[in-house]
Amino acid sequence: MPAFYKVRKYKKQVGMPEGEDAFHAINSSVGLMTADDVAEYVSKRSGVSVGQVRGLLNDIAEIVKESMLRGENVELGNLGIMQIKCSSIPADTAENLTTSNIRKVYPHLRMRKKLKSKVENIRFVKAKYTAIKPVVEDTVP
Amino acid sequence: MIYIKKVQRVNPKDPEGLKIYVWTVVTVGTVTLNVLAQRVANRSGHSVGACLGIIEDAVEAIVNFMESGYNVEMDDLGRFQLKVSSEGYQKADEVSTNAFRRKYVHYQPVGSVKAAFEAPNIREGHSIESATSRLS
Repeated sequence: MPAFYKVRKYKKQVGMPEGEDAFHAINSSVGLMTADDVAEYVSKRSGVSVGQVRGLLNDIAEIVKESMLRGENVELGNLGIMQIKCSSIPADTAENLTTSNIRKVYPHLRMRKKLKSKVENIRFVKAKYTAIKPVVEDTVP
Repeated sequence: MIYIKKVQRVNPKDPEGLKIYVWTVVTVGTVTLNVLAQRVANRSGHSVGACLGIIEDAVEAIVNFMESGYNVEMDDLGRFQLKVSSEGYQKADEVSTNAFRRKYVHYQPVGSVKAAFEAPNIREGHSIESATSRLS
């Protein structure tokens, strides 16, 4: 099954002549899979019950979070490495750089080479559908 | 505790000009898949092998779902989604897969991970040695 992309208009883009609007391709997901779906997938493969897998997934998430908060990188197999990054307002000298320059500290996923090449080979097709707005009908009490 | 240190970098806006100083995170070590499985086993009471298998299968599930065009949200870990970035065009019709600059997996922290990183415990650590902790 291919992945989808759609075209979106972005206002006054840098790099466009006279800062005109520009059209870009962006990904278009077909839906959201949750931890429950992952647990079901894993359960079918491993023979472990969905409930037990769900519990283990919670433990994994908790341990990954705790490890990152200790400043450790965490390997997640073929997915990549979870690591902490820091974004800060630059200073001209080391003395002028204080902790107040820190914008945010955030977790980041560094993709593995194997996943990178896998992602590069994913076939994208233009989404032909548009989102259908649900219509709420008046209900008579 | 997350340790940070000052580093000197080339200014991307002025590569020929003066260098700038920014903060960067000091990594205290890497939790390998085996260490992660060991820690999960200690907490859950399952065997290390079983935990390793579950982790590998879960990662495979996330990758497979993304390949099929789904976003994957793991409650307390975050959201994984396949993303593309592209060149900009003046007309919508001109945008095709040829416009793609990059395809990548984007990770977005959600839930308790997001909350935990809103006010993390940080301290300046000048060298990796001063910040190193045991991985156990």
